[in-house]
Amino acid sequence: MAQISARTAKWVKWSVVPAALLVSGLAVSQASYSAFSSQTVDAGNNWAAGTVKLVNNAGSAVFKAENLKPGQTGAKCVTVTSTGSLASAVKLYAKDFNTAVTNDLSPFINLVITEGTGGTADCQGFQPSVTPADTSELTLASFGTKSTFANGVGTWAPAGATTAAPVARTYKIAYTLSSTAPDSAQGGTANVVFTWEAQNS
Amino acid sequence: MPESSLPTAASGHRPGRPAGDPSAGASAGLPDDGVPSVTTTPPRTATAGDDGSHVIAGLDLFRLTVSVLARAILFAVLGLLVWAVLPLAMGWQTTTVVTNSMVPRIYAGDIIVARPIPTGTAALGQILLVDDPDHAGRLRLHRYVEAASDGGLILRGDANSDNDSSPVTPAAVHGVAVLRVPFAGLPVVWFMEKNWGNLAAVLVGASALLVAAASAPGAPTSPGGSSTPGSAPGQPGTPHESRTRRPGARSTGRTGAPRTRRTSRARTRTRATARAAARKTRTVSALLALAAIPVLASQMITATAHAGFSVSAPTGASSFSALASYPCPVLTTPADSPTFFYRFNESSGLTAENASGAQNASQRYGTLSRATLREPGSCRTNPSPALKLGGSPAGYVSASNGLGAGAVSAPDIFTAEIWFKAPAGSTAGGRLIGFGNAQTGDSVVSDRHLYMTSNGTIAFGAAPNPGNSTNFKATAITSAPGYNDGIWHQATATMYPYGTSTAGMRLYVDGVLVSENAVTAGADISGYWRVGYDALGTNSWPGVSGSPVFAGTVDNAAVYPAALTAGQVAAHFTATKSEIRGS
Repeated sequence: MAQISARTAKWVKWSVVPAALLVSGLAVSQASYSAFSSQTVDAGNNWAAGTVKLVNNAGSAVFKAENLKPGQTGAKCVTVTSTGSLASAVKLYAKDFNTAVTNDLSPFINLVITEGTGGTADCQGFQPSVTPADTSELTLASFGTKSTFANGVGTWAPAGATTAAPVARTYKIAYTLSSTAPDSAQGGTANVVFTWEAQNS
Repeated sequence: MPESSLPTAASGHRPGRPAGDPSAGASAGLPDDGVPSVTTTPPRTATAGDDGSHVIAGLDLFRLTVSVLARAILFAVLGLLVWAVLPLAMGWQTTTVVTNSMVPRIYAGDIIVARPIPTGTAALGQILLVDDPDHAGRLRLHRYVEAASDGGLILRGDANSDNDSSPVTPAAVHGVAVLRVPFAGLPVVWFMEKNWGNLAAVLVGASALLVAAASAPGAPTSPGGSSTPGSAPGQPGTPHESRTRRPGARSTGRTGAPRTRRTSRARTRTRATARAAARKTRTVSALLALAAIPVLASQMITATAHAGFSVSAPTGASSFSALASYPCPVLTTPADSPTFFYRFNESSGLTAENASGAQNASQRYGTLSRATLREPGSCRTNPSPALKLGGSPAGYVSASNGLGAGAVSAPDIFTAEIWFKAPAGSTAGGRLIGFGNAQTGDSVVSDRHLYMTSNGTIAFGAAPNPGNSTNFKATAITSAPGYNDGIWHQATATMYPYGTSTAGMRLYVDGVLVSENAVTAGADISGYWRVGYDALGTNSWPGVSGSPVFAGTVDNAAVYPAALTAGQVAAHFTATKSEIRGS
């Protein structure tokens, strides 16, 4: 026989308050414990549903330009593909700039970076995404100082995508050894790792 | 129907009026409806106590359960928010995580409380709340995984495949995450995602919970409302109705008709309703006040932290390297149509290309012989590449007279021009450029040549035949001594047989006429021009002893089929001195 006096009911109704607070406290402490007690980092394996994914088709090095003469020029196109489900911003920056360089050639290498579509590795059929092309023009030395996402170059902001329906952009990177490169730069070298990074926006 | 049931109910209760007579009340209800649901009997006894404590059962029990559950949920949620908000009082920082890069430790929608730490005391492995180095004004919540060499902190989202590319300065660390309040920030996330559906659901849910929590089974209000006689057709004497008759004692004095009693009951019901309404208002107010906490706190907890996803797609290392020695660009064609013009700018090989620019110029190339050495240089800002002589056996560059052409007659109208640099203080002297009968090896007769004597004097020699074909008489005009100074100089010799003011030999150094005479011809021979060494032994050339080999460097050697004017000579010097001297 469920029989409860109104007084009991009242008591029950209000006693549930501290109980609920207690429960929430337990929830918070448990959640905190599970979040912060372990310092194990199993990074890279926890692919969440919403994420960013980015690949490029450069294979290995974009450039291996040797025996450059002043005024010599060249260009390569790299297609970067995003399959992340989150909208993101993509920047191009330099990693591992000028490792083991004694005679720095980078101040005399002018880069022109253009975003667009299409194009083979040597940029046959490349189309700038806007006309006139929106380019980043800077020396390799200057690019080398752009070593983080924050000061990278580029304007691409891909929307969310899937593996089945990726979104892509082609970056044309052209270089020229300045025709006014001094003789002191003869035999000079420079190297850089062109790195694209996507961060969800 | 309602009317017919009313008397029954009234009569059924009337005997129960005397307090403490449960049996009467119980028996009264049964005969009429036969529903044994009059479990209200004992409560009715309590009701008579008039102390506000009522008896609850059946539907009310359900209602109570709902109310209690609603309160439990409501207060649990509020409790979560309290946990999120309370630390603010201690100066800790509360943020809502809006992205998932710290899963499975932290999910979007969690509220994270960060405890401030002194600058530079973060420990590896801690989850830090920092100023996002990549997005001004944003906060980032990632794990501290590595100390950068420059004292910065390298962070990483547990779910990211790479460390964050941008290190964080110690000063940018807001604190260490210490509390995680799950789910509490979901509305913030939904708001940012513009997920109005979920937000509306939350709002509706919260409202429903508020109403449910406020519904008070202990208060007679809602039961009273639903227990009007008309609402229970055919069910006389329902427990609800019995409850409304709490102040029934007052109506006892009246033996009035049901009508009167009904009025009285309505009045009391109104009063009870008012009381209950007041109570309910208080409850709702209290709950609303509690619900206001998150609203008040929203400004603080809506500070969002991005446990941002990032992924990098690096390429292999790209490399650039320049030639060890730049090739010289194509220079402008020399003025005044030289027969040949050797820049010696080739980086290697035994051929001196003819830069004269004339038709078939390439056929009048020079051939490097014996000990010659190319001296690297630049064509632009530094001294241009040149040709070093002075080795052993003494080297020279023999000029071709054209494709398949043999020896040609020595001209009496010509200009020979050459840049030279003798080591400072050198006393070797030596031949710079001239004509000889042999294309290779030593000439038997060499003539029309520029040479340096042992004291650094520049001489232009020619051996005219004064009428006796075997008796050449060597003559020379000379400059001042001292050009053996380690500096590039240009020597120019012209010969012209005609005109009173133009005939004769002229010697220029550095574009300036230094000497001249009236000799209008050299030895009448056939042969070849050559740069550098040739035998000078046949004749006695002023200032020459032995077999002089120029011990320095030569450049831009040219022969013109005309006697250049003083103005042209000066112009050549001016045009090429920066190329040769490098300044």
